[in-house]
Amino acid sequence: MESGPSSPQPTQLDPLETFPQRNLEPGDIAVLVLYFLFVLAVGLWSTVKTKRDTVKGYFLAGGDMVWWPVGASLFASNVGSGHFVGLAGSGAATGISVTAYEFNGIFSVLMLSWIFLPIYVAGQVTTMPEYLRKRFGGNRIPIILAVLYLFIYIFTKISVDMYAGAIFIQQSLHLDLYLAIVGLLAVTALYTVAGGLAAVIYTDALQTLIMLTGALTLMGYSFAAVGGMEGLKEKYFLALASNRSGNGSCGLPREDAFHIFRDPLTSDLPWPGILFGMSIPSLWYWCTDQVIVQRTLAAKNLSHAKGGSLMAAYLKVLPLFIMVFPGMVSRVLFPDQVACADPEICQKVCGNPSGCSDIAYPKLVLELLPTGLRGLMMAVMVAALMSSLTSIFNSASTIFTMDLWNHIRPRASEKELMIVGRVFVLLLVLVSILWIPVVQASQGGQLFIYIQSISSYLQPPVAIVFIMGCFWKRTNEKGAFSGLILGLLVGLIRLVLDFIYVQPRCDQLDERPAVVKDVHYLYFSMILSVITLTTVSTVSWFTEPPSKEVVSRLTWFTRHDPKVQKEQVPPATPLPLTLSQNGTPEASSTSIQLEIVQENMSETHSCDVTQKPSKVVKAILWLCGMESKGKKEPPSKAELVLVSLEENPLVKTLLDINLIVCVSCALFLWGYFA
Amino acid sequence: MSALGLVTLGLLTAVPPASCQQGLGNLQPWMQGLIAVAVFLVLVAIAFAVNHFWCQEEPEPMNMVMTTGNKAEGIMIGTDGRYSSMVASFRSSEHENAYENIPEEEGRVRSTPM
Repeated sequence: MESGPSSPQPTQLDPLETFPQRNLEPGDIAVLVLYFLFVLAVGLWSTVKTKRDTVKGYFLAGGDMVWWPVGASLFASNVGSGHFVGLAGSGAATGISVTAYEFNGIFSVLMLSWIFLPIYVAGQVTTMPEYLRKRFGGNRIPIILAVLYLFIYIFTKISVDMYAGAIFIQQSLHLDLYLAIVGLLAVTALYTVAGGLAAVIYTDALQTLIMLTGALTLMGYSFAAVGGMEGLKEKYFLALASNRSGNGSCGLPREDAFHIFRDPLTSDLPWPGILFGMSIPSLWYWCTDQVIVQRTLAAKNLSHAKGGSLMAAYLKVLPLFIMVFPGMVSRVLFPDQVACADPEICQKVCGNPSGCSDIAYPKLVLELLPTGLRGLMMAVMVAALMSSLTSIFNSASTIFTMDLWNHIRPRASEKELMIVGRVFVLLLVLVSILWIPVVQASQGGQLFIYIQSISSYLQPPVAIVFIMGCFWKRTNEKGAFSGLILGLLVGLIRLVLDFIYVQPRCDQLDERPAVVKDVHYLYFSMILSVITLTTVSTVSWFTEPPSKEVVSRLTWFTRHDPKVQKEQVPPATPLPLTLSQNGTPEASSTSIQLEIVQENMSETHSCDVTQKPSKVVKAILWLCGMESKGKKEPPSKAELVLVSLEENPLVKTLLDINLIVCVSCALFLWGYFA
Repeated sequence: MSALGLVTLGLLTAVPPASCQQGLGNLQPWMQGLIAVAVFLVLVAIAFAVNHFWCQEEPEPMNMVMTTGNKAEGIMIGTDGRYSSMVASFRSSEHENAYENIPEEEGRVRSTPM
């Protein structure tokens, strides 16, 4: 994590203590190379297979995905290297309560497909800011949201995964971080830039398979090493660092380590916070975040999306077993390093004086597994990192292109949007590489904590605005805007306070003001949600109600309203103008989708006639998905977005039964580990 | 909420976390899980029954009101099949927004020719 500015290799680690100088053996290298070839093959195949020169083709995979790639991609985009490192580390440090995040996700991903997705489909949206633009009218909310999402992506998602990936690559592989990351990104950028969402989803399916195989194998090895679940439960409470200084409670395993529900006041994750404070950010992540929703929007129809959600929900049961428990096993097996309590020793072990629990998972991989399997686990970590990064790249590019670029240049042709989308992905690749020095210079574990707090303080207002927009017809633009701004401001204040009053180490005195010290961030998330809710409700109630067109098909109760007829689109353009400030985007975006066809055809036709493009230009054009032949037939206007809410009744019943089963399983697990 | 749910919640709040793996109070962990599932299934059954009876209860007044209704898209999620097919069958072939005037069943409404 930490490296002196002048040394090219991280040498501050005592190699005898933490990660012995084990070079990559040929077996490992062979597995890694095979993995890369496989991923590249799948990526390029899906690139060639799909039509990627349209908005729908590039950003929504042609709307053609069946349920299993959707489900696998939901899981793989969510589970990144940050999960492996973070969940295992938290398991080692504090027990299984961190699983609450994963189990909460089960319910949220099901809510996405059953409750939120029908609304998005009925409203025919591609991005989340677009939904808000349609629902509330006006520009300020969608622009704020687009910028906020990009900020969150760059500063939380990309950085978390880069940080965790860096721990693994640098510490356990002893590779030069820049070389490794640039190499990885070059490979994945190839199919991400060219193929768009389709390539990302199919490669995500492959990465899921690899991740699960490797992680389940490691789980088997770790339970074998510690004597099964019973052995773990006994030995965890004996896993103390032998060089513990002092007689405080620092470094001791928690008494409630095997419980998810913990004391409301004195624990690290209080149970009311888990039930209420965690569900709103979880809802934000699974139901209103572009990365996740985009995958379900790419599904063939609603039934396939529901099937994908169910698959992802069942897969979300696994992180407890493949990440948290192995983390606890790592503490049992290597207590002196993973559970180090003395700041100086911790500094020597992993460069972070607050604690070294983050090395739990990499340590297991290195110590427990034989050759070949170690290569597989490295492939797993790389798979987790790459699957999340590519999904983030694609979704961030979607938001930038469809919301920000379209706003700046409303008359942009589809070709231009395609190019902009691809260029933005390349830009994000650069940003990721630029994060490496930040990650290296930071204090490691502290960065992780700050990133978590950014998420919990900025997500609740957005989630509440979405929920109110979807479920209360009376919510109008003014209410939503004031609620959003107020909520974000309050969240920002708390964020700044958190940065100023740093959480002290375990053995230090806690002198922070009561507002920061006593109000747990989950409780704060609840407070923030309530503030936003009241603001949105009161302001909406006291201002004029939204018009019928804005609410039609965009809330849960109006999702079956008949579509506005196509002929009415031109006369409807004056209406948004009266509703919003500079109201062109809504009308212009629909007109883009209707008119680009003619423009595109004429453009490519003229290119064809003028001159024969050179080989390089042709290659670049192919990469960008633009064949110079041009399309002979215009794509039918109806195939813009998933439009129908119809489902085969038999399939629907089966899915509903499966839903009940899935929720029952989840509740059983909650009850079991409570 | 059912009484069983309240009891469970009460147990959860009142009992301090135990370090031995007895679970909350004197319950085994798998018992806790089963109770949670049972509560949930009871709630689902109640919701299903309410949905069934409440939606079934007003087909007649709904029919009359909805002959000029605005629900035109095929099968509707969660509603009675009979309901939607009645509306769909009212569509007129002359214009897509028009509905035929289909005479009511005999014995319900007396229509006097004008």
